[in-house]
Amino acid sequence: MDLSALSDEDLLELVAERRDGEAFEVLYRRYSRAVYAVVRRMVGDPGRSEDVVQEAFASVWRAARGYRRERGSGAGWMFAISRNAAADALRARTPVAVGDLPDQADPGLGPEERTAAGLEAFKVHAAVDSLPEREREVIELAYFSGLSQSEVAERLSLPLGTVKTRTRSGLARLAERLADERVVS
Amino acid sequence: MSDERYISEIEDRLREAGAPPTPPAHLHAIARAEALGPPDVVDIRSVVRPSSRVGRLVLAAAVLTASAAAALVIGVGGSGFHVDRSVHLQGAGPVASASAVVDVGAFSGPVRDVQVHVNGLPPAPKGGYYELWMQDGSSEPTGLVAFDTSGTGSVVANTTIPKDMPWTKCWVTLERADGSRTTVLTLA
Repeated sequence: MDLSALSDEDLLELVAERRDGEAFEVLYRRYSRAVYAVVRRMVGDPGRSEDVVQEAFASVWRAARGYRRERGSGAGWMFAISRNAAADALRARTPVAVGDLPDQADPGLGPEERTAAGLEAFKVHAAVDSLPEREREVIELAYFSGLSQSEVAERLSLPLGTVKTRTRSGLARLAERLADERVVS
Repeated sequence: MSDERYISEIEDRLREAGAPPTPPAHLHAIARAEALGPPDVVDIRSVVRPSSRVGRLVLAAAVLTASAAAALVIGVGGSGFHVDRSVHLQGAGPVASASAVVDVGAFSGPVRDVQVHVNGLPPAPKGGYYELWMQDGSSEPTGLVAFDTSGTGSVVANTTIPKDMPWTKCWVTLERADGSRTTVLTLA
């Protein structure tokens, strides 16, 4: 059985009920970059981030039985696990002296807005990583690296038409997946 | 929403999310070992009620092995366990003299460690095992760990629960090889 075709929710249930290492592997492949991105953004230090990512995935393995699909998506649960692991690491950090305080409030996003934005990015990253390799590489080069479709074609030594087709099918697949995650309406 | 607008929105989301940093290659092996390393929990729901007698014996052996491993782990490295709450269980029926203490640890990350110290509970009948359960209200009970006791009637088993998992009831059942079940320890 090809577990990579299963939904996050089905994979989490396999981990919870059968202690299925292969299902865990699929979840890792699907979420490792998204989890790492969240943790790096919160924790900063690369080495410390690696420790937190380890802890986050160990928690996924241990706590999968606590996941209930009726309470929310698997991606949301994975995000919460990652954020909690990072938050715990930050709490454990030795306090440092506060320097000069700013005169004005930070005009950027508040904590809740940051969390929502982080969750959206997390779901987008996980959705991209769930794409077939041939679609993922063109999507990443076009939207993450900012290459034009002609440049993607040249980089991958593919006909321009192939790049366009793969981009289109990749975007359609992302649209379907992200609609399930309610990232897009 | 039209297909074009839909695709356009996806493109916007991709650009807003930006490229995620790539985790180092070695992290996969480390994270995998951290997660799937030495098992300290026996999840019996995956093999509940094996249909064959051989299957039941294999399950029982797995339970015994894991229980012994769990006890060893606790015996060697349990000094870091910080108890947040303890509940006492008392034997029922023919094992009325048995007892157990369930220690629920302070949360560490998204989970809490749970240690179960059992005394006076005779080893389960051949092919059977004991299981610790928790439940909140009328929700579905959650089987947490399967174990068996030694000849002295004692064992220490460990498991974890999500840190915010609600529970108000806790008990231990005897799961027999024929599929029948009896509650043997309940809240004192």
